[in-house]
Amino acid sequence: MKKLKNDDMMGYLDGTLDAARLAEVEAYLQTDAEDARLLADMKLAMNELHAWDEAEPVRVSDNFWPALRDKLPQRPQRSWLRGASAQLSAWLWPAHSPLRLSARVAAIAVFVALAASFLSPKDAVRNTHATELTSADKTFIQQSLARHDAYVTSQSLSSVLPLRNSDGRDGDGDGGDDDGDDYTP
Amino acid sequence: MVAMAYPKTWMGSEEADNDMALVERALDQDLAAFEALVARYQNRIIAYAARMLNDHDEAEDVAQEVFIKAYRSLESFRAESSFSTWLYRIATNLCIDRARKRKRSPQQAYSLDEPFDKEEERGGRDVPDLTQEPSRGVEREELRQQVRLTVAEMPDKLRAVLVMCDIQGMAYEQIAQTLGCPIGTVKSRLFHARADLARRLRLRP
Repeated sequence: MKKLKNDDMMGYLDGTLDAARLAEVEAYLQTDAEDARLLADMKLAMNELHAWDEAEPVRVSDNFWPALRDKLPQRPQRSWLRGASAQLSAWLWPAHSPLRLSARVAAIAVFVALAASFLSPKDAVRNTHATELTSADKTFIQQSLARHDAYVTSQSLSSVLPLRNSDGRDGDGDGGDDDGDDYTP
Repeated sequence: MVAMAYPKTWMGSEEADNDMALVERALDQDLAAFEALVARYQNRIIAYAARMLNDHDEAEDVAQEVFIKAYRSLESFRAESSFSTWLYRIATNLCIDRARKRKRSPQQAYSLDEPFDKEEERGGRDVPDLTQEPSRGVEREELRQQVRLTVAEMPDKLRAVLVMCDIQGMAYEQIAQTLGCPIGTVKSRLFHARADLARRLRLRP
């Protein structure tokens, strides 16, 4: 068997090795006096530490709380958010209520469902098309189209844009509300 | 050889729930609730600080500071860990700060003759009964003193783990939460602390 690992030694000292591993470690310790002595000394140290509290119990002095109470700063203040949350929580599910865990699970489930419905990919796509123009943008576009139509009319473009004339447009600027889908350069 | 059953369970979930209720009441200006929390943990915190600092009076000072800090920061306690873990974290930081300040100031020699608690009423060192087995009694007392001396001289991080686990019986998980490090680190530090202690005991006269 190879040299003992630290984990094995700790498991041996803590008594957490399974029976098979414990037998292997004990067999190994028969062959390695150095490790066996180290473990024995560690065990002795642990026992001494364990007995320390019993031999010299540390107890608080009688004056501890009165002295502490006098030194305490202003009382802790609960923020309004935490206060409201605690009140709501206490109202919904009192401490030690058997329904407390189920109520929490239900609340989390409702929250997740609502979040999922708001953040679904469908909504995400819809939202990307939902950008609306401001009235200033609309005015600017209308004015630009009107000026463009006026320019086209002034330049007598009948030969350049036969399609628009064939559609019956007179090019007097009324086409400003054209949505531009049939624009042909 | 029978191994001790470490790590053992240190605190039940019912006690933790109760702590939270007391914290909530303390936040609602109920000083009696905070007093109940202090009464519940004062001995453990003082014992921890006493083993860390090797001085009972300073341990009481530190414990007072721990509870004052906890009281002041009660609003920020989020119950991500248990209240006791939170207290131990504060205590560990304060003990390490004190130990660093000591190192900067002129070193006080550790007297093996001086009673641990200084004041008789708090219980001095355990005096062995030498009437029955004189040589064994002396040997045992020497062993105890060597253990205390070695623990006092250990690096803070090793000492903290050793005190929490082998003296106070805290579980690895809780020590890891207190120190904010992985369980593997706790085990590693504990192994080195135990091995160091074992080697020092082996070298004793």
